[in-house]
Amino acid sequence: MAAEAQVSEVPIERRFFKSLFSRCRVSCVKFLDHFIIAGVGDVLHIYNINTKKIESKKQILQGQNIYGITFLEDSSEVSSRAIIWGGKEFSMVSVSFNGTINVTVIDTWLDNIWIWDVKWFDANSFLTVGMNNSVTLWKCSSKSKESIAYCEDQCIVYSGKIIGASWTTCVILVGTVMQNILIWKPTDAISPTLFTLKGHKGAIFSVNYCPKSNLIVSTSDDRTVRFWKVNFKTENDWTTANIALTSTIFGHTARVWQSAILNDSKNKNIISVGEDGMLCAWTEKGENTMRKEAHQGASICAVDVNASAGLIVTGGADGGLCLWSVTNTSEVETNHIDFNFDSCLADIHEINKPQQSAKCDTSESVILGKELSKEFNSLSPFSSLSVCRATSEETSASSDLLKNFSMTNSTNSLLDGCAFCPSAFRCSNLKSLVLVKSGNVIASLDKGFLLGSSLNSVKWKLLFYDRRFSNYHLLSVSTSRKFVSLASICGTVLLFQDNSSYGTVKITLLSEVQISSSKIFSIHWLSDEIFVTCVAEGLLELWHRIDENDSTVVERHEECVLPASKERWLTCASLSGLHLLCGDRIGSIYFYNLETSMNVSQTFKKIHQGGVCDVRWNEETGEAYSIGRDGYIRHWTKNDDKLELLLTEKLPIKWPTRIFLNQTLGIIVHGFTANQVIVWSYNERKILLREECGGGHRSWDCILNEKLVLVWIKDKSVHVKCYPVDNFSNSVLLEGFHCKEINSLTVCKTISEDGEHFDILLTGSEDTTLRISSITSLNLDSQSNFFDQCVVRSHVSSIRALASITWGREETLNNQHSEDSTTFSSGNIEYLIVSAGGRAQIKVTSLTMAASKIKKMVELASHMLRGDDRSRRTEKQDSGEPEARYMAVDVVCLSRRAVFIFTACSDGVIRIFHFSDDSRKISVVAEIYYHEACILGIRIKQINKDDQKKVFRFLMLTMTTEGIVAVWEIVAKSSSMDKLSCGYTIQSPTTPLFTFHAHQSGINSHDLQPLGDAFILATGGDDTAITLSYFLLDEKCLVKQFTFDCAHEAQVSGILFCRDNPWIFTTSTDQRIILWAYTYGTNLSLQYVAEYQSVIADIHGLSFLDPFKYTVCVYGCGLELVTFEKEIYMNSVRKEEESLSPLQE
Amino acid sequence: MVKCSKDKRDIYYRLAKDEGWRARSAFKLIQIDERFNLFAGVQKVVDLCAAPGSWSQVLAARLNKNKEKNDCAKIVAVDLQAMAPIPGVIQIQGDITQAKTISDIIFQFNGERADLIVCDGAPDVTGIHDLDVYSQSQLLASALNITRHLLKQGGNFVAKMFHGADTSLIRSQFNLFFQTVVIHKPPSSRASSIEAFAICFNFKGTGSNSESENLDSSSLVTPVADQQLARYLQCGDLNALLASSTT
Ligand SMILES: C[S@@+](CC[C@H](N)C(=O)[O-])C[C@H]1O[C@@H](n2cnc3c(N)ncnc32)[C@H](O)[C@@H]1O
Repeated sequence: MAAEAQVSEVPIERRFFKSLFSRCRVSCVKFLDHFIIAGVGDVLHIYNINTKKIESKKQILQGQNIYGITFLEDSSEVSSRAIIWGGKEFSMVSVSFNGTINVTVIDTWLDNIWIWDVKWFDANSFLTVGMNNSVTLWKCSSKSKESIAYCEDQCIVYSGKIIGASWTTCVILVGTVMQNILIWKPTDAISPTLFTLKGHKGAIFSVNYCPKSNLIVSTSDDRTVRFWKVNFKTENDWTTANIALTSTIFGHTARVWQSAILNDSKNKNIISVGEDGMLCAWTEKGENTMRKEAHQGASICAVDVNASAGLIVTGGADGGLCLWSVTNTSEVETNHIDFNFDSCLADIHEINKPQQSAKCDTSESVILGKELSKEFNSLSPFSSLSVCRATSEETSASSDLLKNFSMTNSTNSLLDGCAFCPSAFRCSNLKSLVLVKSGNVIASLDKGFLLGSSLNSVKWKLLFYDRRFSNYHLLSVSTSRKFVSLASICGTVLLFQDNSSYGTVKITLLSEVQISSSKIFSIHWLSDEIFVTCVAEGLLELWHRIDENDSTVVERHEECVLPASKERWLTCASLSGLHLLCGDRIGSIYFYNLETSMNVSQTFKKIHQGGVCDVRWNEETGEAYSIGRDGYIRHWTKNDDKLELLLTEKLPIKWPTRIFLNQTLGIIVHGFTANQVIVWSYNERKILLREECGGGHRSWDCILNEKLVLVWIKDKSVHVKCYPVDNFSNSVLLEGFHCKEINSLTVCKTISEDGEHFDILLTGSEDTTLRISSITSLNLDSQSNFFDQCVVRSHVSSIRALASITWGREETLNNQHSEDSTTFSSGNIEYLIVSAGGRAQIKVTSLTMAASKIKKMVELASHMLRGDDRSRRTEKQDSGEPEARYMAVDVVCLSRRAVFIFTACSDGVIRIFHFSDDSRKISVVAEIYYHEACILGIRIKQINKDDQKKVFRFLMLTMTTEGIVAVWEIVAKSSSMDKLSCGYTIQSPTTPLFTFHAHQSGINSHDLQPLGDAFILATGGDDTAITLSYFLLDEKCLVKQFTFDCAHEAQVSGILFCRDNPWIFTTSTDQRIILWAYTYGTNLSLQYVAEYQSVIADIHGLSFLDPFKYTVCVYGCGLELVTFEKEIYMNSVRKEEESLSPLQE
Repeated sequence: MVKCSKDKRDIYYRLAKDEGWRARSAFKLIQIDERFNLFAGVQKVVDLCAAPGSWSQVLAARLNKNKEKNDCAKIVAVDLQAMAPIPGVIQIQGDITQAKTISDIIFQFNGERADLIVCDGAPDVTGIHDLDVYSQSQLLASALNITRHLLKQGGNFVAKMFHGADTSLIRSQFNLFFQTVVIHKPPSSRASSIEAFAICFNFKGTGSNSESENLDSSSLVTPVADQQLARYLQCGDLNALLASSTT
């Protein structure tokens, strides 16, 4: 029954297009030797595991996503064969590796059914299992179907897996929509089902089998992973086997897509990945051994494992590719130290014995003996601190003393108020916890005690007592955690050194300083040498710890003053050179240059509403980070001794508390949300750890170096968790991109000093982020040509529209909004970016680029129609109306103080906003209520200006879901009277000049081509048509119109006029890019020229990268850069003409 | 499985609640009928992929409006999932791509043929675009297959489709069996979704083209110029309240 299969070829029209670059979901990953092979759209990427770098890229299945790769098993060491498949297509390739890896396509087939699995039987034949629950045996040599068999249960299957390596021995596992797993063998043309495994409560998305453990692993729509054990009566004889469900795992919070089985001597694990973006590992018994958040929470589409290396590779819907190591959870240490003071009391007995104190370091005890004399009323009973002579005498009979300790205030007694009695201990409350360098924890009690414990013991030891520190004290620790300070209400600071060794807690009092006569409001260590204190009147003093001979002295070096405020002290501070950065409780950030002045050089008032929680310099880059109770992280930079805000980003943490700069992990934020402690990576934007802890109001501490150590108090005990940092690191082979559709894109151009051009892509997505990426080289084969520069996460909802204009020097401003001005000087270029979208939010951001790098990015203003969340909560107005969304935006810049933003809104209102660089505010200047349907598009075009009178005339076009285009005239006049718009007023009309119908339904895309007095508007609609409308502005009418019905298979979502040729590019959700030729002489017409099939799903639009080179970028679920090869096209046209008229000569 | 509308403020969601429909998709069928008058004279109808049942509700309400108990239209609803009973609707639980389900439906009709077949089926949407479009076309192929066995000559067929790379193929397949095919997106269908409905009029009857069992047995690429095109029709000014401000 051999049948000819179709061999797919690149259709002629496609040959004129070349894909340059794409970013989209990673649909397939596979380990091969020390390489990782990944299918990213229709492009095969090959990475080297050792270098973590890309080795090569190749477009394989043109326009079809790659879903699987199967290697021929008995391949030699230098070359191999593989089938690469996706959808109904598959290619046979040869893979050779001699130093580098090389993939060559031998043949490509097109089947008529979606393929779920491919398995080689021998070098000349392979089997495929299709969505219609059939298998086909293919012969490579003849490119034909050798045999076909169907399962008797004929239905659509959602997954399939082939076991065995020959037609007679193979077994087929498929998952149906009817929630069953079917197992069958291709014995007949219609073969019987051997087993029907019931249990899942939804469609089955994957079935996997491990022959070593005879385990079937299935993943499903019902969010479970299920394990089924196959018990063979005779080995590998499925017909007589018995199969039982052994585990049902509810470990994912969404659908589970794939599984992978690790099984060798070292590692035995089952890996599952799902729609929830979680990577989980399970034992065969179903116990969880790993849970990791990956791919920014987007779906994880593909997973593979390399058991011997203990590696996992995942591919995400965000387009990222990550390598993970199979970590062992036993490396995580957990401990609880009960808050039981009895052990301390026992210590007192021990340590107060005379021979114990004799052991103490005499020099210290002398120093301490003097200082801890009666005048200080302090008592330090043990070990490192020793007991001063006077004290030890009096405490020699400790048991008696303990009995006699009282809480009375007899002033004469040395032990007055001492809380050494058990009851006083018991009513002491824990105030602070600090982790010290040695790996011990020190706790302070509100009655003035310091206790210590090692992290792995369960016993507290009393370290120190001084009643001056009862009720109020501040315990803090130096940056490397070697030094601990204790500050009091009467201006005293005690300095201790951590002298513990592993397992024993020991601190030494180094010195005592009286820094003030009154309360110390705050104390923060800036390094191991310097700490800053804040006392009355906002006096900030920097104290340096200096070791002199055997003793330590503390000297005051710098001082400065905190501006007056309600709560005039610090909550955090960081020092870089002599640049001091600090924050306070009301949320202000202060920047001091101590070299030049003791006054604050910059204040960012209440920038972190609710309080600044931490600030941190990165000394290497001169940049800084701050976090606050507002739930934001801000990224700062120092420019000519000035602090500038670079970026603001919302944290996934309600109450961020600390910033770490870690060698391995980069910038890490620690904080709390509800009763969880969260550790989050700024670099990767993902939560590394989430742990129940009872919340941040309790005492806690955290350090991060080679280990992450968390300690917190819960249920009267100190909980300790200690994780190796490697647990959190993964290697990113390919950086993730947007995790949902890209709704809009705008391109900014920059030039480097030596004249090199760069394209900066700004993409706004449904995932609420704005990404800025630069393209350095337009070549698919080049190693790295696309750099993700930064992600802006400040929108509260999806970003639907973007517009950008340059605003460099004032004199060049006026004509910058027209896209024709493409001449830029090199050096820094400042762009003004307007982003708008869901929840009727608009933001204006300034972006300064130096060649392909971001120099500076600052959010200048933000506006929400119904006010921000804060003000809204108080109003509590719920009109029941859905909140409006901005669907499109355009912008005009008359001067830096007169920027006008035009928005198309889903409620049918055209809104015009004014923005000024001075006030940095966005305000509504006009609302035009004309359309009664959602406005999908808006376009502003300057038509003329009168420099003398300072009058600008603009053409405005609006397009709606009803298929109507409205043409408006907008006039901007100079009127220095009008304060708001800083010299310009917009005269907004209430009715358009004229309107016309262009489509049966929504107008999704448009482009405008001016032709002298006339304009051609090209529109693409929901009705799959393209319409050209020719109109004259002066005559206020539509002159002619042409509609090409069914230009695409689906709604036309992008349309662009070429600059130097009468050509139009269009694109649609049907994933095609079509090039058309148009004429506009006596009649308008449109003719099909060529097309390209993109891998990008759900295409939302089309933009030019280089209009003169015919390079376009389509975007939707990812983006692809495609160039139309005009030369090749022209040549082929010429040839065709020649061949048609051979007699012409 | 259609995910229920997330947006509770959705106009159709509210309307459906008010009017007692089980799902907002009821309006799609209502609007299709308003536009194309599909229910006129219909006595026997099959609702494929019917759960949770709002289309069946619409069918029962419209076809049995002024009728006596014993003169009711015959409505057979089929779905993978069980659904709550609806008076006057016969239910079959099964996979429409499975041969057994098809024979169950045929059995219900007892040799007679249906006047109208509707299919609002949607596969498990995976978010993997090409797979979703493909499995939708497979579901459509099954629906068409059932239609060919069950629809009377001159009968009509309404089926949900997903716009995708090979939409044209599906259209041309429908054109083989029906006199007229129109692709239509009712206003209540979200603009953001890729769904549309193929409204197929005047079934040519069985016998012809029985060899094209499988919908997509031909190659993918059809030059745009000479496709057999189905006209796209937008319903003009239906209800004022539909004004697509909900887009
Ligand atoms: C959009 S819902 C139908 C809604 C329905 N028309 C209503 O108005 O209530 C799609 C339905 O298709 C069903 N479906 C999907 N694949 C199916 C199959 N292979 N056989 C039968 N039903 C299927 C799903 O179970 C789901 O209930």
